[in-house]
Amino acid sequence: MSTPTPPVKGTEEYFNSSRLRVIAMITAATLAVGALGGIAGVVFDPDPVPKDHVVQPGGGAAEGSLGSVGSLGSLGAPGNASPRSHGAASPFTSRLPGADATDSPSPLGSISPGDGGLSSSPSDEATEGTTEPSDGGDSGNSGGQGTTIEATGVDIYVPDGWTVDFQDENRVFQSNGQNSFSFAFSYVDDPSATAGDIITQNLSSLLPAENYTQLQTSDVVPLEPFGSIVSLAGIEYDALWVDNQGSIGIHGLIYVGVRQDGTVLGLLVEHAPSEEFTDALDEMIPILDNSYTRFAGLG
Amino acid sequence: MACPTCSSDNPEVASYCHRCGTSLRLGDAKRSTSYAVQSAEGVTQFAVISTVMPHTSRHSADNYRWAMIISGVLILAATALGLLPIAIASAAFLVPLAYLVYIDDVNLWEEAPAAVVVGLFVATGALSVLVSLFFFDWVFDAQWASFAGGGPARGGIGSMSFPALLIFAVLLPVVAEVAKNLFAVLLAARPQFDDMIDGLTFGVAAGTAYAAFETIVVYSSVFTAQDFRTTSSIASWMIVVANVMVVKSLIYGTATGIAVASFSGKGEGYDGFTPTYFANFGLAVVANIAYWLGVRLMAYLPFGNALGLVWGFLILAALIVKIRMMLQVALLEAAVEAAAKGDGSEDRRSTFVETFCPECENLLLTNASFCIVCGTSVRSSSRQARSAMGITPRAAAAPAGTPALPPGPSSEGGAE
Repeated sequence: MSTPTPPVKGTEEYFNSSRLRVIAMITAATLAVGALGGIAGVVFDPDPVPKDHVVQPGGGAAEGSLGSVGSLGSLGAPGNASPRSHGAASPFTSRLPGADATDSPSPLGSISPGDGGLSSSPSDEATEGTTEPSDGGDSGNSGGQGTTIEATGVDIYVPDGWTVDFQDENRVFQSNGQNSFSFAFSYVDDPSATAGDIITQNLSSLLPAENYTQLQTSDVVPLEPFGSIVSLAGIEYDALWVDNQGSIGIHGLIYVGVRQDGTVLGLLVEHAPSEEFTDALDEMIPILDNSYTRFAGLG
Repeated sequence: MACPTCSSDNPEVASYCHRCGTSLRLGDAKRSTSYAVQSAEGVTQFAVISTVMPHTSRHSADNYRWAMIISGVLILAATALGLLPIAIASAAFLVPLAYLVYIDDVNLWEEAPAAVVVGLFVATGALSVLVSLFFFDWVFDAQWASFAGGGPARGGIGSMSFPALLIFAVLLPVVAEVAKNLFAVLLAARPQFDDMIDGLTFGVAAGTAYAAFETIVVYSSVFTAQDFRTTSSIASWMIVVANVMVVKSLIYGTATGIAVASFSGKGEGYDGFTPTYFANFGLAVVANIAYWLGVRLMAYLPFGNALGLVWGFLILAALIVKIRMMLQVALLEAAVEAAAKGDGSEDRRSTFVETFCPECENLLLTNASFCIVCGTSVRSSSRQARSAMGITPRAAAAPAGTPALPPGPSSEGGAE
């Protein structure tokens, strides 16, 4: 028969640690793990992905060839796209169906979500002035052809291996199943709107801060208009995508072109993780190049 | 006075039967307002610490509350300062670390600290890393980018990938739950850890450890981001860190805790892989699926991250209540059954000497399974407390090949 342990003097003896010790141990351990995380953050510091990938789309339009990476100059050091005084904020560039466009009304007054300028059928002016999309503009969700944005009749190129994931009146989303994504939007603006202004006015909608954290953008790069395009610009960005289920580095390009009839085509291409962007760019360049070539009426 | 349930003799001043825990006060026969693990709380009360750390007392639970609050504030401060690698790492491991301290505090690992620590934290953590890398990086990385990247910025719910949804919101929770249960069940099958509360504790420990390592994998880009410190989107990160620190960790932990507790069973010895275990394993899987699916769907709505956090809290609250009801029923039913059988089985879990109740500090009678003043079960006491009560751990008391019984008093001893 074993001997029972004698009764204790008080209930504090029922635990190994005092209050102070429990609090100190948990707090110290948490700080220690945090410090390890901090060290990891310093040690695993990758080389920044250069933001010099904005290219001139439609560079070889006459021959129907693709533009080459780096055909336009480097954008230089990361910075913030500076807002400008003029430009239209598109309600659907927020990527949120039904987003409120009244936050940033166009000073040019040609875009109004309330009068159907964006979500209903395009105006006569827009369609009359539009260069007919080239062949390959059939809607569809298989690669190698194209799909048409209903509101403006703009044709978006869908390369082989890419799939249209979602499409509505003004937008087309496509992906290639290898972490590359593309988002196209089109609407009718005042023909005098400049592409750079449209980018800066809509950047926070295109890259919502709730998910695109640590956002770094290049300066807006004005590009050479061609065909029926009267204004063309691009911007490059790097961000850390986050939500409650994970995070991933993401790198991308945004292009906006404005045609002489006021039709706007915005194209965003991005890839995750960031460090693979350069390798993945070859997959995305055809979307930019062919779509803008067709948009310019040259395809 | 005689207990109306088990007929044990109790002192006239007793509020609870010392053998079966039945309330002897008028109007509270079912003890719906007095949780047998910590009698100052209601059964359905949303009290996290006393639920996942059932061996604490009312006073010692406060130690953990303060520790968690202080650490949580520090982590959120790091987040507010944009120090994301520090915030994510410490948030992921806060609950598992607190649990490690708790297991030491209540001496749960008995003579096998290495087995408990290695089995629950290291081995489960290693499994978590393997499973997470398999799903998020090695095999389904493209689907993961599509799944996690889904939201209003990627075309809304219409662009959701159904295969990716099946992989990460259904298949992964099933595989992960197996991984979380594996080592916890192995430990719960050891004779010195056969109590349901031990099973619950091991399940929670394994689940939180799994969550911590999975978090490190899915948020690894934080450690490899180009900016060590961020100054933008802090609000988003605050929500994410709060989710990782509390909601995700405790959902994983409590869900697995329910499954492993049912493996242990309510009585002596462990029940094993019974239909009840598989039902509760299924419940754990369903809880994880609901969490992953709900958070994903919320992400397509405005303020999706915040809504996902709220959704997680709702699931966590349901799991907490489930555990409390499960333990309440198990502690009371096991005592009643043992008293009814009269085979002395409950004597092995009863006090052998007079000592103090860890909860209310009143005297505990000999041969008691519950405090007659506050009704707290002695099975929820720390190992040190039970040792002081003369409840000898089975494995320690039993030389190989001999019955693991403490020298129990006669079962008819009753209250003295």
